[in-house]
Amino acid sequence: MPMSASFPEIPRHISFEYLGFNALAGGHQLRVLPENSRELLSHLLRDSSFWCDYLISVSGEHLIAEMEKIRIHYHMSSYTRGIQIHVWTEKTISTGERTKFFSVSDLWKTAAWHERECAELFGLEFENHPNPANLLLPNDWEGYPLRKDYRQQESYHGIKLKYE
Amino acid sequence: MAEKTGESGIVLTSVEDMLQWANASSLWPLSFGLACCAIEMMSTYASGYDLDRFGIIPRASPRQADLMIISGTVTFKMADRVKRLYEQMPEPKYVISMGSCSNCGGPYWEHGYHVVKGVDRIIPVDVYVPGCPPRPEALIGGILKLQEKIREKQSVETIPKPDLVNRNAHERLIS
Repeated sequence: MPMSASFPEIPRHISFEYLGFNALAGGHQLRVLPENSRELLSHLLRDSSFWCDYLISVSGEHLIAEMEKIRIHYHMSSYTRGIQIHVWTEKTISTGERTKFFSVSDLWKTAAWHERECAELFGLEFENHPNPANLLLPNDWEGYPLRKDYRQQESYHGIKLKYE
Repeated sequence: MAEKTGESGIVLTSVEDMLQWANASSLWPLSFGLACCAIEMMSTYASGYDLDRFGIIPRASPRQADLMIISGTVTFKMADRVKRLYEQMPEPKYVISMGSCSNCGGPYWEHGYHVVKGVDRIIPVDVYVPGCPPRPEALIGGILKLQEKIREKQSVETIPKPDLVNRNAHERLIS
């Protein structure tokens, strides 16, 4: 089914911002506040006019322009409705602890791995995640490598990091 | 082998020579691969290049292996495992570093926070095979070089104990 440019209606009680359609950037662009993100995502999965049964990816972004913010992108599509949606939400980085987002791994099982990866590389915590352990990094790794202000540690288990 | 006398099937040699000959002709590598170099390594094992003709058969346990081919990118997470596997291998043991990543970090040398910049930072290396990835011929070349090195050794007993976390350990192995 070709990608659809018309956007079905969403009930008024779900608040979000529609930013338009961009075929190259994952279809319909939706911005949502982190506290409303779960309600919107759950609607996109369960409502019969969307039926976004395929979560393509959950990815993170640390903005250069606004270094205090972390953005989470959800790309999803529907096999039956031919619709593709890109939802993003952003939050200010909390100091001293991991920045919290809702986990959507109970809606899409795929999200579990994607969220683990985001969590370790950006220093986030996905609430109600079934297994919040690191996926790629060693458990005793210091810092969050995909943050723009990341400084790598000097050595790891006695091995120097820098090439010299 | 030192010399062959006549046609009677008697071979005169020293125990050392015989051990070195046996050592060099039956290198049993630990079967594990790390990245894309492992694909070339597998191709080298397979019928096209057939490492079996050099007496090289991959072993599934470090206890039975005497050669370790580091075929690919060594990440810090893997470094601990590589080191442990190396320590579990019985002496005498040899290491071939295959490809740019394990030689010096390869394309990750500057911005790869996760890559060990050369596997010789964790275990001593006998032969470095350059390439990204090296072709099977290059790996065979490295193996022949290692066999040459084993045959030239004075005594099996004089193989130095591995000096871990030392970049120059391989140079002392040669001298």
